[in-house]
Amino acid sequence: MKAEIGIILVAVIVSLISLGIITFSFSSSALSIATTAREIEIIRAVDMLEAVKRGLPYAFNYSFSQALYKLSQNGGFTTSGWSTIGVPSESDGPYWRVYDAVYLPRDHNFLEAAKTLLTSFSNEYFHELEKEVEVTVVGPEVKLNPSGDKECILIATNGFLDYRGSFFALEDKINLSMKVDCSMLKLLEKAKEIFVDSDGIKSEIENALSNAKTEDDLKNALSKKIKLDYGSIEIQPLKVALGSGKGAVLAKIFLADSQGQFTSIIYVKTSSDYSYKPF
Amino acid sequence: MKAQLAPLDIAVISLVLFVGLLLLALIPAHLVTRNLAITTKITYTSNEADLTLLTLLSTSYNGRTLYSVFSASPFEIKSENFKNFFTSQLNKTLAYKLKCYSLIVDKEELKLGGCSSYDYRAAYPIFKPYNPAGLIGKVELAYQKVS
Repeated sequence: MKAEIGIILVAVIVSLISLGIITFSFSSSALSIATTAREIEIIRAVDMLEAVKRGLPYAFNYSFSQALYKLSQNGGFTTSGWSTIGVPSESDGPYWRVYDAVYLPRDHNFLEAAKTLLTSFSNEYFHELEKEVEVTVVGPEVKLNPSGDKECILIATNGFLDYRGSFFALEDKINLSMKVDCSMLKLLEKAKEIFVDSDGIKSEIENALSNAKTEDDLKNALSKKIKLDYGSIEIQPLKVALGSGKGAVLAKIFLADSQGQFTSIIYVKTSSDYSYKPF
Repeated sequence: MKAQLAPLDIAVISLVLFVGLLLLALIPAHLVTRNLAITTKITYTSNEADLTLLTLLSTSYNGRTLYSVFSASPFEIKSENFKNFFTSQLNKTLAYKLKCYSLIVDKEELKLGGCSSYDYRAAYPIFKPYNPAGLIGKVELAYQKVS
C-alpha cells in the first residue's frame, strides 16, 4: 500500500513537472515567434521607409523632367487637360498663333507651370507607390526657386512618409532640397520673347488693326508681302471684323521658301481685345 | 491503520521533486535562451540583407548611383563589367565571402553561384523614369554565406 502511494505520488509529480515543461516550452516558443515576427515587421518598416526616402529625389527628378517635357512639347503652350494651369490648350484651336489669347501658362510664368506639373506627376508616383507597399507619402509642398542661369533649387517640405503596420505606425518627415536643370525654362522664356512678344506678324496685324477705319481698309492693309528677320511672308486675310473700337483678324500666312516661292501655310488669329470674338 | 510513507519513499519522492523542479527551472531557461538566439539571428539576418541593399543603392557606378542604374537602365546589370563591380561591392559591404547571390531588377536577373535557396533576402520598390505603363519597379537581392 505504502509503495503504491509512493509510486502514485512520484507519477503525479513527474506528470505535473512534464506538463509544466511542455506548456512552458510551447508558450515560450509561440511568444518568441510572435515577438520575432513583430520585431522583423518593425525593422523592415524602418528599412522600407528609409528606402522610399532615398528614392524621393529620383521621383522628384523624374517628375520634373516629365513636367519640362510636357511644357516644352508644344513650345511652352500647355496641352489639353492641364486645367490646373488655368489656360486653354494650343491644340484647342486650329491656329498656329492666337496672339490675343496667348495660350501660355498663366502670367507666362513657366517656372510656376513647371512646378504645378511637377506636383501633379510626383503625386502620380506616390499614388502608385501606395499600391505597391504600405508607405504613404503625405503632401510635400514643392517649391522651385531659380538659382543662377541654368539651375533651380527644388525644395520639398511639410510632408511626411507614413508607414501603417499591423500593430504600429511610423512617420518620417520629408525635408528635401536638390538642384535641377532649368535651362529648358529659360529657353521657353526666350522663345516667347522672340516669337510671341516681338514677332513681326503680330506687329503688322496690330498696326493694321489700330489704323483701319473700315473692314476693307483692314483687308487692304494686311494683303501684302513683308520681310521679317526669318524670311519673307505674305499675309492673306480670311476674315476681318471691326466694331466698337475693337478688331479681329483671321489670316493665312505664306512663308517664302529658298526659291522665293510662297508655299507653306500657317494660320494666325488676333483680336485687339481678348473678349472680342466675332468669329 | 494509517498508510504512512517509508523514509525511502520520502527520499525517492524528494529526489524526483528536486530533479523535476531543477528541470522546470533549467529547461525554460534553456528554451528562453535558445529562442532569444533564434529571434536575434532571424532579426539580424533580415535586417542585414535590408541594410546591405540600402547601402548598395547609394553606391556609385560609372558616375551614377546604383539606384539610378536600377531604375533607368536595369539591363545594365547583365553586363560583365557590372557583375564584377557588384560582386566586389557586395563582398566589401558584407565583409565576408559569399557563396552565391541573386539580384533581380524588374525582369533582369544577375546571378552568381548556383544556390537553390537563400537565407538573406531584401526587396525594395524603386521609382522609375516617368512612364504611364508603370512608375514603380522592384529590386530584389538574395544571398547566401559560405557555411
